[in-house]
Amino acid sequence: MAKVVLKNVTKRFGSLTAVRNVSLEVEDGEFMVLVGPSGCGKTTILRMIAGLEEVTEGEIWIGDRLVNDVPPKDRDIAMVFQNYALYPHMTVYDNIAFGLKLRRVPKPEIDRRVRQAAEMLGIADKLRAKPRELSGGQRQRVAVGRAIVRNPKVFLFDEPLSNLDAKLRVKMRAELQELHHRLKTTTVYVTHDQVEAMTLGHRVAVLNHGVLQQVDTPQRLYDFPANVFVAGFIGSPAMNFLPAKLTETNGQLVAQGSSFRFTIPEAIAPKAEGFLGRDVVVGIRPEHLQPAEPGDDGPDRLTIAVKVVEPLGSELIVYGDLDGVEVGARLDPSLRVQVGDKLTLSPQPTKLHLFDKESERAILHFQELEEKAREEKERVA
Amino acid sequence: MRTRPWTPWLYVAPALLVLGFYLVYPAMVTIALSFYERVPIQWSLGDLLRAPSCSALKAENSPQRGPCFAGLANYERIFTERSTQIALRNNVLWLIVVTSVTVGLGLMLAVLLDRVRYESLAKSTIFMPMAISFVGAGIIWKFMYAYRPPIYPQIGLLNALRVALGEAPIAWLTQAPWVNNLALMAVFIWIWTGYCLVILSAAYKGIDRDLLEAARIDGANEWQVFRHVVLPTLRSTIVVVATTMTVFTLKVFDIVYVMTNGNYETEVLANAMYKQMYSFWNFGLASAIAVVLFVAVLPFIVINIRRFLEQEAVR
Repeated sequence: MAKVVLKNVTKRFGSLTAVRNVSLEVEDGEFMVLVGPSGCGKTTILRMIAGLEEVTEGEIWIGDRLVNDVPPKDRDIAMVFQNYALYPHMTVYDNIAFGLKLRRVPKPEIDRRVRQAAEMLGIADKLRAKPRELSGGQRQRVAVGRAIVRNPKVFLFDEPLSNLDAKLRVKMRAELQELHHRLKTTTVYVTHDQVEAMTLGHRVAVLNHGVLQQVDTPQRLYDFPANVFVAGFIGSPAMNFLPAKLTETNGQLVAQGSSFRFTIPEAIAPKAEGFLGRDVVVGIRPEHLQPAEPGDDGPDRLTIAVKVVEPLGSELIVYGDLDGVEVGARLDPSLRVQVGDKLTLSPQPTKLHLFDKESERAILHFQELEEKAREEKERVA
Repeated sequence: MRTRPWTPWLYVAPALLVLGFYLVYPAMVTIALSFYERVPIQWSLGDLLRAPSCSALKAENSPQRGPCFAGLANYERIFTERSTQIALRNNVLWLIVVTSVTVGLGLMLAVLLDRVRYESLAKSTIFMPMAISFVGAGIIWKFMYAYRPPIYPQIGLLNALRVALGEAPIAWLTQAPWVNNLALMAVFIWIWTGYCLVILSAAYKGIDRDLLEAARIDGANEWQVFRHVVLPTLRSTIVVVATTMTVFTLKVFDIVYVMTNGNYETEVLANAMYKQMYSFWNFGLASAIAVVLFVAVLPFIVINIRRFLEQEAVR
């Protein structure tokens, strides 16, 4: 058990900077997920923690030890690879026992621990098999078994589920969650799948182009994305972004768009004041749009020309055009809508986000209204 | 389309005919000849069939010329006469030393060069001697090993170096049995290590890098990674390269022929065979040596073919 700390870590491959000045603290026993599109540097960070890549600048600490110059074998970590990396010439038993044998653990102890791990992972009847005789899910379990049997300070997972089919992935995801709940070992988990990130992580670190964008709990990433990238990356279908200009009307701040106008509530307006007169982006998630009541044509209504209708059974995803910008909405499946229809949508007033167009940073989240209301309530109570 | 049962044979027939004519027939004839003595240059199958027994001729002290049936006498000579005994001993020596050094060195270089920046340059350099004919290589190395009595300046590179360092020159190619035999083997190793290196390096690069990294994270040091992951993974390739090298080594001829012609206890079977054949016109004994070589090579060929079939079966 140990903390993992990255201090201003940079990794350069020749002239290419893969990881830029990343600082991150993974608490003891925490499940931290690194997520981002391919090439964002998440795997490089994991490999640096493992000791498979050298750190160009900065420090990596595991527990209270600076490990920059410690070889992988002495870092007391275990890693699960995307393609499992099982030793093909060894049986499942030997694969799991290999690390213990190298550490000269006594034979009976090895046997006990291998069997215990195999039992826990449901592969006890496969111990004599060779990896090529196993299915993808079983190989995955062996790879996990090889990691947990050593009882290391830190688990590292490099996209461990991406080679499994969709159904098995969901099952293994749940198993990994359960496993962590049982073992409580500090874990760093890399994935490009935001659903995996949200379901597994205590906290999620979002990366893009080697730069850490935001680290927070899944719910806070969803509610309070720090910038346009995080807002668009977390959540599916992705958040809608509507260009607007921040102006003042009747003493109130408004985000004025092509055919809509959002008034910024006074309680949170001070945050936006500095951006008066600048171009902004209004963010609204598809699930926070509903069809407007007939005849309701307030200034914050969005009227789209429907282009795509995707009935998913449990919900209806509609994509349409709003003055040249694509807008998606996640609606009730009972709604009758066809391609070519005009559809007026009404956003939930506390679910809007406002970003600065130039820096792409978040200016404010209307969600803060709910927070403030809750705080108020608690204070009164 | 309907295929008649004999149609496949039609396609195979030309190859079978050519092989039969150039391989099977000569092999049979060689085996047959190995049981005769005094075979003249122009012999016929009829002569051989009508040939009297050698022992009978000798007993009668008969003046009759022409081939005689010797039974296993030629084989007996190979294993009892000093010159062929030396050849047999040297072939075993070559087999052990050359095969293990070429494969071992090739494997070591394959793993080490993988971590070097100028890998392809180094590999090409080591592979280069393969392009030189063995006769050419023999001549080059004859210069390397050249020896003159200490009162003269040394023209051989190795001895020149020794003299420059204040040592006495060594007669590399005449000092029997270790120095000269190892000197000859060094030439063979110089030529063939590149071949082993290239094949083993390709196999090494085929190993999934994650496998090596997984072992390192599991706690293995570099030697343990090599011993427990690289070596078992390369096992089948090593077997193929080693058996191939064994066959090449058993057949060694050119280098010995050019550099010492088998003198000073450097004889090998192939050179002994050549001498018996073309210097002494001793067809029977030469054929017997050929058969011994063939039988010695056979098991390694079988191993290679078996492995090949196994691979096919896996596919």
